Amino acid sequence: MMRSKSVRRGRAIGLAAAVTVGLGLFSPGAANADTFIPLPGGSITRTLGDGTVVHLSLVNESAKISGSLGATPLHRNVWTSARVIADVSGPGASSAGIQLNPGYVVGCQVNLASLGTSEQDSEAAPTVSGGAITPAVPTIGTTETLTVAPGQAVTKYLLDIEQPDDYGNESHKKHPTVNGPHASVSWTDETFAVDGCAGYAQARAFTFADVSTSAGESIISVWGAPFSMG
Amino acid sequence: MSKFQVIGRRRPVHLAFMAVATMLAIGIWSPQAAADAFVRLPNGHIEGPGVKITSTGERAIISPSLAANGAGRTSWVSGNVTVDIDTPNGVVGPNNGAQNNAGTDDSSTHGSSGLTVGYLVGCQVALGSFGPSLGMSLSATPTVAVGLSFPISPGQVVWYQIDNKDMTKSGRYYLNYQDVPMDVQGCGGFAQARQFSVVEVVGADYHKVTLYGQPFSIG
Repeated sequence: MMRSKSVRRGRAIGLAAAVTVGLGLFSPGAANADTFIPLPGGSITRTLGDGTVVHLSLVNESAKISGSLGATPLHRNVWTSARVIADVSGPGASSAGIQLNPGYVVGCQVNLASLGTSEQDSEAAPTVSGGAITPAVPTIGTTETLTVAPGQAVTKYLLDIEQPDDYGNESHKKHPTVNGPHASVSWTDETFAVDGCAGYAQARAFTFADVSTSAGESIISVWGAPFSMG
Repeated sequence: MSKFQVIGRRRPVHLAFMAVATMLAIGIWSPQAAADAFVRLPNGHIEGPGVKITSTGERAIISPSLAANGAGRTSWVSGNVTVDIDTPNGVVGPNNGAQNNAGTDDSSTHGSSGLTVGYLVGCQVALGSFGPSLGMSLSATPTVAVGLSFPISPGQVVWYQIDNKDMTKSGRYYLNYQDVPMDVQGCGGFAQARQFSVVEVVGADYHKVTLYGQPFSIG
């Protein structure tokens, strides 16, 4: 009985080792060289109801695949750079207010939430038969679980701008507010990451521009090209 | 009856053996403090629109955590960050600090330009509670349940802010810190950290620039 248990225990350790090696956890040394990805950006021009023209462009866009500090193949990390510019012309330009909400949609194919092995040994109660006690044959319940779920595409915004709301309470915005016909936001080496993605991961830049004039209110968006996070 | 008692004595020995093997496997029985490791880190520099960030004198001391179980580490970090900035004048509003939403690099502004310095800390493998869980209950029908579980999940990378500085007008600003402790607990793999410095410049042309230091191992 002792032997069979130690055999089982050895198997559990072997499994743990196999899992560890399988994830590549034993190679913490060499960080991969950063991979630079130039991206095309994007631009869009829209004429609003009152004749105001909004030109929204995403320029100088690039991404760098940089090793995550999690340092396993499950971790993905990119540094992104770009500039988004909004220019308003036409009848509403003098009264324009622009709010730029830059961000990235980060998608992962397979979400690996928890990798666990749990070995459960349960022994049935000794059974009493005819005055003599006979230990029952141990039943072995072994569960090795890998929790995998479909990954999700998550929208992550770049900015966190704190200001009091109308009642003086804490409020956080994802955009600066500019009163005037021109606004831009640039970012250099902003991190977007996924911890625990077991499949393909990709990301895509976007900016929602909220343009208001004295006579109109509009939301215009510009999207960059999707790119692999490695 | 006598046979039952024999089994009753043997099982605890067996359980103790398992517990010992488990502890040895994760190195719990080496509590003597290892010598502190001193890491000198290279200077860094980045320039963005209207912003220059320079990091100098960054260093870290890595020591085992007082938890002394191999899954906890402590590091003590020091550094100097200098910023040259060209910014519109700002007025600092009320604030409670950054919300640290994913994608914001743990930086926020509240009316004026700002500098945020901190560390990204990553762990390869997060350990849940690890160890033998022994459940033993005596009743009319004695049952023994032995469970050995080691839940593992991919480690997280967290943004840990050290300090920030509001920059209300153009000029040169400094942020210095010395021996700030950073703890990692329950990390079953390699753990590493890296400095980050974020400058956000307010105005119609908003800029956000991030400088990263070199990653270093914290054991």
